[in-house]
Amino acid sequence: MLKLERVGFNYHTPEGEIQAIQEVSLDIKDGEFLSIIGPSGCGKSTLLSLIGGMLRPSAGRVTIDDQEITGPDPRIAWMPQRDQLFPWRTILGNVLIGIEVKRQPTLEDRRKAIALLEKYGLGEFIDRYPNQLSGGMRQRAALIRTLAVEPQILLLDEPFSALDYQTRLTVADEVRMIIQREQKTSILVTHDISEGISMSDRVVVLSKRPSVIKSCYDVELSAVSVSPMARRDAPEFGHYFNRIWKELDVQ
Amino acid sequence: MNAQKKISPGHQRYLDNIKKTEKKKRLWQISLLLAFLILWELAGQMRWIDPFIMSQPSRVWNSLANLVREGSLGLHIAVTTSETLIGFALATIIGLAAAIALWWFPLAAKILDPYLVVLNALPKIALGPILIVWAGAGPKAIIAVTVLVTVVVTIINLYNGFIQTDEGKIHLLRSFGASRSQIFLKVVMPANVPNLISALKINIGLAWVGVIVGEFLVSRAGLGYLIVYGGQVFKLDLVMASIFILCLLTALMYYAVVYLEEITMKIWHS
Ligand SMILES: Nc1ncnc2c1ncn2[C@@H]1O[C@H](COP(=O)(O)OP(=O)(O)OP(=O)(O)O)[C@@H](O)[C@H]1O
Ligand SMILES: [Mg+2]
Repeated sequence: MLKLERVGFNYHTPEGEIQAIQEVSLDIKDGEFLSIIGPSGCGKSTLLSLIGGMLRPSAGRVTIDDQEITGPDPRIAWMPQRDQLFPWRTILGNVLIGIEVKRQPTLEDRRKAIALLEKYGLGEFIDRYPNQLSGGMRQRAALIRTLAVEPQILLLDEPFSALDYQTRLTVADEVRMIIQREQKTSILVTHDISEGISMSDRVVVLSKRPSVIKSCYDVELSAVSVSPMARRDAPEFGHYFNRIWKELDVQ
Repeated sequence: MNAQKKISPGHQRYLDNIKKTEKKKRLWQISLLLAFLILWELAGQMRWIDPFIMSQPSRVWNSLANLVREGSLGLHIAVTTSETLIGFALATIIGLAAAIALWWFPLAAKILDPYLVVLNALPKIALGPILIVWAGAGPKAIIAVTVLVTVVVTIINLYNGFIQTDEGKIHLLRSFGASRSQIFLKVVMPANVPNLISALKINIGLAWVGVIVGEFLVSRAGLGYLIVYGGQVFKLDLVMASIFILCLLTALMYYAVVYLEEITMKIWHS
């Protein structure tokens, strides 16, 4: 269980102090898929950096199973907005980078990484370089790089925003299915209300900076699968959409 | 991709066109050189110019033949080339090490910034006489001048490349818990391979400048020595001959670096 307890964060710059996050408390259950939606610059990326241990909170604390997070934690892996694949490494080399930082990858690590790539349709591209892959494939490779370190929790910072709309829908669908199969707790930051609703068990709406939680929605859709595509067609979808839309509008 | 694929007539025309342009280009390049040499030679023969001052290709050729006969040409080439290569290698290694140190210690980089700016702006050759006093009037001084001319630009270029490494990639690695040395070795260095190659290209040119200037100041052998000596005793043929050799050597070394660049970039995959 991941817990944010009255977390606050201020940036310090020579021009002054910027209060990015006022106070945020959240409990995220194991296996939950949570989305964070909020206006631009409200502190969503900052919140992910706090959870990932890249920043230390100015107030409050972040814990996993009651253990405080004080730095980058092997149980948490972060997937950036742009894929950030290294052009000088093959796809397999890119996927192994997270492990390499911790130790010399073993044959077993390589075997596992290859298995993941094969399982998610990149088997032919193991020895290719990122520039030989399409945008959607690159994003999938970036997700597999995140999964390769076998984290419990995935932090996804607008992972689809660099893709065109068509690709975005399919890649979001693929990513959601992969995460479902791998049974990971996930926190997704997005600007896109539909994306947030269609992918998540719960949507959290943040206020403008300094951010606090404005509201929380447990998304219950009468859809037969977790596929975001299918969930977009659920009758209740529009209802959630309108409520969150209004919520973001009034600020 | 597919070698057996049939080439359409349109594409064939396109390919032929490329080949034709290429041929035309070569033809013009060679013709221009020949025309220049012939005109020069002719101008000397017809006394349009004074060959004693302007020299001429046949005289340059004789001068070269003389040097070869005396057996000293090889020595001069060897001296200059080895000074250049040593200076080039030293400057590149020192420059790289200094740039890494500056990246590693950002505070040091901030402190040293104004000094680097001044050193960069300073015409390094002005320090030549000091170096001669310190290193003695010999090859050591020449190499010192070469290193000085080359190293500051190397440091600045490499360091700027290092600090411009994509923050996103560094952030990604840091999220996996990478240490500073891992960040350097796994992101900063590989991301800067193209930068390093372009630094090498600039350095090879600067190293030649350093060596020739160094040889102008102090030397008993080398192409720079031949040029100065030839100028002093009014043997313009010798000066031209030396410059001609210098042209060949610099071109050779430049293309060696370009070739190195091609191989590295193939491995690196931009
Ligand atoms: N390194 C930094 N130094 C100073 N201020 C910063 C820094 N990073 C972010 N901020 C400020 O903190 C606030 C929150 O930034 P953050 O990147 O978390 O927002 P965000 O919600 O992710 O925005 P976006 O939707 O545009 O990605 C912004 O107003 C930003 O100006
Ligand atoms: Mg952001």
